[in-house]
Amino acid sequence: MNDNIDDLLQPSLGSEAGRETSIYSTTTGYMSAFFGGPLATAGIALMNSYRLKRLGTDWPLGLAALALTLGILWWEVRGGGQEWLIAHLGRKGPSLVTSFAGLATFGVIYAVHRKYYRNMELIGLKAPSGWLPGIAAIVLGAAAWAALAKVLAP
Amino acid sequence: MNDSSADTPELASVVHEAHALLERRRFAQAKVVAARGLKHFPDNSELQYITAFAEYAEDDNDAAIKAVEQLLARDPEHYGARTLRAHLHSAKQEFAQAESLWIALLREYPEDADCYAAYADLMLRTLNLDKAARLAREGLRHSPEHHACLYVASLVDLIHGRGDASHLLRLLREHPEHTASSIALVAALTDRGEYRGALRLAQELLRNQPDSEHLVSLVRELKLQSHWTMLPLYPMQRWGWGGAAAVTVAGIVGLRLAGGVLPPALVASLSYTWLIYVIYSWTWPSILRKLI
Repeated sequence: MNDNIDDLLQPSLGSEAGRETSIYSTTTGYMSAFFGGPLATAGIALMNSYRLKRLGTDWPLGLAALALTLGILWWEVRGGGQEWLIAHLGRKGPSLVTSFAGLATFGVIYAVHRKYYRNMELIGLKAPSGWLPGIAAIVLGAAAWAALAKVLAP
Repeated sequence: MNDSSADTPELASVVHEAHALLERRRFAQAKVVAARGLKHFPDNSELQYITAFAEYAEDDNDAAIKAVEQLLARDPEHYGARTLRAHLHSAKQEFAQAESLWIALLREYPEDADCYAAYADLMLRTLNLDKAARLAREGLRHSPEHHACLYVASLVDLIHGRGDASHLLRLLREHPEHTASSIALVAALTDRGEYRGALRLAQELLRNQPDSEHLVSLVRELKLQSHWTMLPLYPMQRWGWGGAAAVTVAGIVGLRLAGGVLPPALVASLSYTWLIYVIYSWTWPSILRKLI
């Protein structure tokens, strides 16, 4: 048996017992993105990466979401962005930008995890319930956004 | 064992009859025939295996495991029983145990395309996509037209969204009669948004296998996707959550911009219409799924 086959016949599932290794659905990701912004989106994405055992590869997604959040907040709080958004998109302008940034982050994460979502869809794997992690991500993501805005305020 | 008795059936004919019943998916009858044979040949591995397989096919996994363990206790090298035990672990979602059995089998039978295909299928079910592809490729290296390896390879191509349909075409050309070929074709049609064609094919499959839960849920899902009330949700159906995000952003930005240009009454009407559409897109598919 050559090295290639030996490598192919190494266990991939370790000693985990029982659980199906499916990931939280796109619905969970989308809702977290819309209501919780980029940090909530990254939270769900990294939970999925953990389930896929690829946290070592995907951790920069968290950093990118944090950088995007800091960039937007910096512009809003110190660069006059908040006034500009209110003038052009109304009172809810800043919160809309949070949602849009969340959706943009979700788009990037969807592209990274697309093959797993499609795998689940084609094989008919059921996603775990996303209610609790989704709500937790939204609450923590929104809280982190507000806390960072306070820290950055002049 | 008293083979000379006038009442004793011939072992070969009992095994043949039970196998023929398994092939026709008459599992209950196969069990009856095997049980009758086991009365006369209680140590016969093949009849025990047929019993275990029929239990597995009827989704009685506990009875199947019991029968397989009994068989393996006496005949630990029985190939069929070992593969069945691996399938049973998968069915019970004991994936790590199933994997270790497939690995052990492949170390003993390194050219067995059936084992590569089954292990590849397990990898697909646990989202180890790259390994599934490599295993299917290895199986096809040993048996180039193996239907289950071609099936897994076709699904991997679809998941990656490759334009290359060579595995699917080979599967359809070499095994047009096989259920796996039709299921792969349904998946390919669904992937291209051709829900009506996929539904017709899935319904045909269901007519042939009315007891298949997988096919029942597949037909239900395709009926949902091809229902006329889903037409307004085409962007979401075709481009998934990307389409939903585009509709959401376009709606919000469009309404904000319209607020500065159009009369307030018209903007209000458009806002309500858009809101109703969003609520419809969130709730209607779930309601329809319950109605179908």
